[in-house]
Amino acid sequence: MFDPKVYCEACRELKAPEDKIEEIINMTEHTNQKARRPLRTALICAAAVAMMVVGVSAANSEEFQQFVYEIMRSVQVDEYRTDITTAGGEQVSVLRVPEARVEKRDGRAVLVLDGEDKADITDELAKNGHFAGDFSGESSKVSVEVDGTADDWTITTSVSTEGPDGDVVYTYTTEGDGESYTFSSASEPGDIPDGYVSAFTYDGKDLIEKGK
Amino acid sequence: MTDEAFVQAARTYGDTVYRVACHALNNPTDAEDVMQTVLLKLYECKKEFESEEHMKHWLLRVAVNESRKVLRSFWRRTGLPLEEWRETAAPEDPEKTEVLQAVMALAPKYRVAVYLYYYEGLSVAETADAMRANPSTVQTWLLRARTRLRRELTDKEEREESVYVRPESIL
Repeated sequence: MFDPKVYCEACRELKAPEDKIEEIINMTEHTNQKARRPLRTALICAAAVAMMVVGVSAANSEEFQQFVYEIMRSVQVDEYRTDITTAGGEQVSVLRVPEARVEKRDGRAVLVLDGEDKADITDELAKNGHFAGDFSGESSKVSVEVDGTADDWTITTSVSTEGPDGDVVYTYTTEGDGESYTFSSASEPGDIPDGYVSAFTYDGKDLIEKGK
Repeated sequence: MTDEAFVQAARTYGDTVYRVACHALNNPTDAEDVMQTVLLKLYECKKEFESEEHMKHWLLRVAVNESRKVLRSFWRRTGLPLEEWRETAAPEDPEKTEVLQAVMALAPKYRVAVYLYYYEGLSVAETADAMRANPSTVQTWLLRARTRLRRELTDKEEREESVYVRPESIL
């Protein structure tokens, strides 16, 4: 039998490690600078390395595996971008493409990126059949264009580095009918600029491509 | 937010945010990361909170959102386990451990709904707001969670009873 009282007593014993709270407090005290959470970079990097090797080893390429094994450190720059430094000092940005879709809710069309509501685009779609918006990380930008209606839509998502000369690293389209959605790549692998890796997951498969 | 106000809020609500993330992610290390991210968002946000309650609800909502991001993140879904996950510190009382384990065995959305509703004492509407879901959906999640918990905990009790052989029955 589920006893809420016992459950609450059990929850009360779940406590955050004090040093983790103090770490954040120390980081923010007496500074007006934007604080950044310390990352588990080694773990993230190593996990990424292992995943990338698995992801690309079947397709190619000795060059890529060499690059992977020489990664020295990685820094998660923002939600969509992780910068990697190799042993040879090469800087590589890994950009993640968010999953985009339009959801119908109570007669409204809501743009959802990575499961997070980003914008109510009902009026734009009704008026123009089109919505365009940019959603920026600190140093990367996701541009989304939606065409169609809440019932029959196509989304084109582009990921680029932030800044006036930001490179569009990868573009893909998603189509949906309000119930399900399908995905198709709009960029050729060769479109990825030098020094960039595009990594994304779709339909349970890990897909990764790297610039020449 | 002033440094002093932030320090107080971090010490007051750090555990709360951590518990939400623990329920969503069932992984203490990820929950610690989410807690730190949420506290940093609090520090950096320019929001004027009307009350403590307002701030707490904001933190709960952000904790749910950040946990959801981790759940959906490319790295988490595709990364390999390179270290042993630390087990969540289980309560010493077996009854509490059993209940907590049963809750943690539910799907993430049920776990978070149960936590917000039963532990934080939010109403169904407030839980729905924190989880960005319809109140009727949350009502359904709570109903299903209760049904599954009842079944799981009752089955376990019955299993334990069936293992115990009363002395007189073997005489």
